[in-house]
Amino acid sequence: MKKTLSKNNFHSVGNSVIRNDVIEKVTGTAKYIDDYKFGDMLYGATVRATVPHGNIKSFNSALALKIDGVIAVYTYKDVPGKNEVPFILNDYPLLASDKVLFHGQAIALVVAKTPEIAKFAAKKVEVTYQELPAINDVHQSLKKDAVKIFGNDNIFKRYDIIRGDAENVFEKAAVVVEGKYTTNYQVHAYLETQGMVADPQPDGSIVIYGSMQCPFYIHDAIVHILNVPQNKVRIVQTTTGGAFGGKEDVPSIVAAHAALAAYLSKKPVKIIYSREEDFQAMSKRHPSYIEMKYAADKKGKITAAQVRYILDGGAFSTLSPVVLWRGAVHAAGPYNIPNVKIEAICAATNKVPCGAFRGFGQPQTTFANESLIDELAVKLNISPLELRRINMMKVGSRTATGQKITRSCGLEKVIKQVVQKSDWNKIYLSPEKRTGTIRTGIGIAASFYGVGLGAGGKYLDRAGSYVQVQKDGTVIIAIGNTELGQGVFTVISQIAAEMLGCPYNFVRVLKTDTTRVPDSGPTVASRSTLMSGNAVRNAAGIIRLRIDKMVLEMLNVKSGAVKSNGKNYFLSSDPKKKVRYQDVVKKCYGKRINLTSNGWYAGEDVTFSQETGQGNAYYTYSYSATAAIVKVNTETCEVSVEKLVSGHDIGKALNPQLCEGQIEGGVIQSLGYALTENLIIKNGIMLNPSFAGYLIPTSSDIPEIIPVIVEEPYHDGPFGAKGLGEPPMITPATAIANAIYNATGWRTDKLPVTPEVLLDIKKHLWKKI
Amino acid sequence: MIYPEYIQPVSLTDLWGKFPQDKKIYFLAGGTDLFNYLRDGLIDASSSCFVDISLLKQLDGITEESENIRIGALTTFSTISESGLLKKYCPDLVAAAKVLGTPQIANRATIGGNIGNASPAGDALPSLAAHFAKAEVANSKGSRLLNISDVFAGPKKTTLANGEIITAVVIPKIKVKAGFTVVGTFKKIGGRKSHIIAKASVAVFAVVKNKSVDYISVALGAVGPKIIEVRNISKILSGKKVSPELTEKCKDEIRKIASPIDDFRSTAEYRQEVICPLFEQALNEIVKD
Repeated sequence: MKKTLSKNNFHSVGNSVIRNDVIEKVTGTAKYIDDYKFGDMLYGATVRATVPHGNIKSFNSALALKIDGVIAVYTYKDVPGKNEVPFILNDYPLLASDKVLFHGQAIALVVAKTPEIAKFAAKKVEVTYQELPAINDVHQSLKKDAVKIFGNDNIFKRYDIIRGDAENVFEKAAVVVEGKYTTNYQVHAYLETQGMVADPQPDGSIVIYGSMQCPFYIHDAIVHILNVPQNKVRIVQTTTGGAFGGKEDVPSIVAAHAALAAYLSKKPVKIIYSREEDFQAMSKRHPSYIEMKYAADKKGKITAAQVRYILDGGAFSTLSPVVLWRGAVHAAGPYNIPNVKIEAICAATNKVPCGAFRGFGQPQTTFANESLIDELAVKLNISPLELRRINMMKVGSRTATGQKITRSCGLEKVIKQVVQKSDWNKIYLSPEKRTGTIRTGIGIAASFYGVGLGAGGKYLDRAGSYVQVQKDGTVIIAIGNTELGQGVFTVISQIAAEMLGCPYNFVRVLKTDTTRVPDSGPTVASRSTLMSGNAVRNAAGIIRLRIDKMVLEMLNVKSGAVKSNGKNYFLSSDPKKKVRYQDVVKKCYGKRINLTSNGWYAGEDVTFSQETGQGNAYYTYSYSATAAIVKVNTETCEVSVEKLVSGHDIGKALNPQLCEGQIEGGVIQSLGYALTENLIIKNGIMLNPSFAGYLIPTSSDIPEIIPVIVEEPYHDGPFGAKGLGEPPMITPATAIANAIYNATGWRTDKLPVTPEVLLDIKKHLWKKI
Repeated sequence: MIYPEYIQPVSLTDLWGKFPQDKKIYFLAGGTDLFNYLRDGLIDASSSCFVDISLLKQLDGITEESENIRIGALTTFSTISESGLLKKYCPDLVAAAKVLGTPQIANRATIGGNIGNASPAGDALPSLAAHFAKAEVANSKGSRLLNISDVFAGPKKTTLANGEIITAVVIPKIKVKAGFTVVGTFKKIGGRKSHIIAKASVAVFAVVKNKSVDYISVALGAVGPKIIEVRNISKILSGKKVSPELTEKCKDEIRKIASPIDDFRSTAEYRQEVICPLFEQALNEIVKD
């Protein structure tokens, strides 16, 4: 898409400029962490638990240490600071001491001269266990007599959100629907596995290079583990081959392992995970179990929602508390419902710890609420579109936390365009009217998404920047958010160019480095365009004031508004009076004017209170809806997705092509979540930790995708932008499930909805008939 | 650090002299399965020897003999999928080669490896079974022909002795009556549309004139511990016209003989359910007016 969406009065933002990392990535010259080499570098490999739950009876590294090329084996005893990875609750030990809580938990580090020797020796470290009964799922975990692996109730975190009096409304409601839903794990499947290099410096400081989303999280972790001052730790992001939330929290573990080994051996240490190791030990999307109820009057106005939302956190809490919170806040769906009761629990199990993943708890709750909305439509005998139209959020609506939506709400426009572009009215037929072996179906799902960390991570929602205009007019920028492939460095360059009045291709964004800007929070929650974008806007704006003053001086005018077309500055009142960008920069340097500035942005305040479960949870929301068209083979139960139309209100598309890329990528990831991605853990052991067994979609599985962008500007966003990183992952899976129902009458309460699941539903239905 | 012993003979005669004593011999051709096994720790490196046969060029290629088509063990699936000779005599094998793995895997993976790996889900195997192909197996004393089904002892297990090598697969050419044509196809169901290991698969090979069947042979993959030949289908359809009634009879035979299991890829129930529609899809594709 080459043209802009809305009328665009800007020379840089709003245009689909070519992303600034495209050449290195397409030609293969980009340097990923495994491409980095340092003199005398050693390699680390991790000794991992081979039982899901047990006390460590003995630990013997003598055999491993005898292997030629092995330098050392490090355990929890060697950690100079605290043996815990600082996430939220600090329950995750860096290296297990007396017990292990999941199969694959790190126990020790082997450091050797080659990666092969390190991995070989790690297998030769002998650990014996006294095995303990393992908790395999949340139901088992929450039983009163369950083995306790966290606190006295196995509950990492619990939230209650109560608005109005849902229980009372359910008793008297005209129509009530309810369902129980389960979703499975999802694996991030980033192409580049986790990897870090720690490089100790002669002055006692340490530099960490690696694949990551959140350098400042890693900074905190290294300080905590090595017990060194913050100014002795520097984190540098290397080109990162995909992340999707999987490089938010757990890279702190990999980095801390490398840092520990480097600190102790006084040599650079590299740790690169194999795909299997990455599957077994790194975070996943939480499996969920959700009980959901809606009440409505006869006309279809939803009067109450009740949700019991349980996440399987795995063995340690990592980011589970905030994942739980985001899912809970959005669990009632993008509807204006006066009475809501949401109970959210994250429980511990003896399995791989779950953490951040694009969508952050919302794909799970969306599957429950958007499946149930369709069931409600069936029960009310109205179309699923009409039911959504009656209840959807608009300006003036209130969320489950009582937050009044006062601005920037494009849900109605999004649904309208998605319906139109999917040919809904031509394709929709009720399931009873569908015939034949292969049946077509169409389904829709909608959601809203709080942009940024909101009240879940309020104190982190700020960002810094550094902008420097060089003598030749080119620009260097440092920000605290990271480029993960989403294109944020390109968008930041566009914002800087727009503000400064220079050409887009004059701007270079440096690799993110914790010594350049203050802690700017994580690169998550679809927040980078908003937070870093505003921080750069702030810094560039300060410089622009100085430039404008010089422009007036050069044009010999006392006052007036200065504008730019990206090449020249001119007077708004007299566009013929112009001066070239580079000439102004040169003049500024000649006159000793400072063309550098720091920038800062802190998000608007939010008021949500954990005690009452009420208040403003986020300062703004993005809105989305996806329509799916599928063909279902009723004999083999195979589902072929034919088309996905995914619409998003994101405030302003700063680079429409990148926005479409985000939508397409998210939609494909959600398609895998819906149909094929099925991680199996049996008795605590992962059975398919590889891409041969865990099936992400291939290019032949990908249907026609139609991205739709709606722009309802957010007044405090850079040029009106909100956020888009995660929303494309939230609705498509449920739209596909609803389309399968529309094709066949088979309603799934499980994701992924594999052919095996559909066969089960089909047989069950036939038995009933 | 321990790797398997590695040798690379330059000729078949050279091969036998080089074998180390007391080691498990693994022949390395494309390596698309073998290296996974090594990495996953399924091969004990200290007691193994990888014999790289990639220089034995006489094992590569497809040749027509008077009674048979001979496919050298080193022939890759890319070569098979492009072979005019196989399109003529074994269209089902060509169809299987086209959906095996990815183009990258098909460029390296060999037919000898697919047989030696003995996976019940091996994509080439139902077709070879349907053709009653024979594997040419050699050892230092000479070579012999083994029915393809007799190569397999169970999932990932062969009946070959340590150090015996599959040198070729020999497929008998079918006699075609005047007016009839050779048809064949391979169908599989997997968890996604490509780059996938079969949950269930079927090869159908036939000599037909429109819907009249002179000869037909069907074999099933991934629905039992070994490849399953459904011999009774030939009795039902040979010399007859395919009809819905006869197709149902064939499906009954398939239902009787399939014995799938549950694993992480699928369930026995699902495999049992879809193998018949899969056969019917294959039959309808090749036998039509």
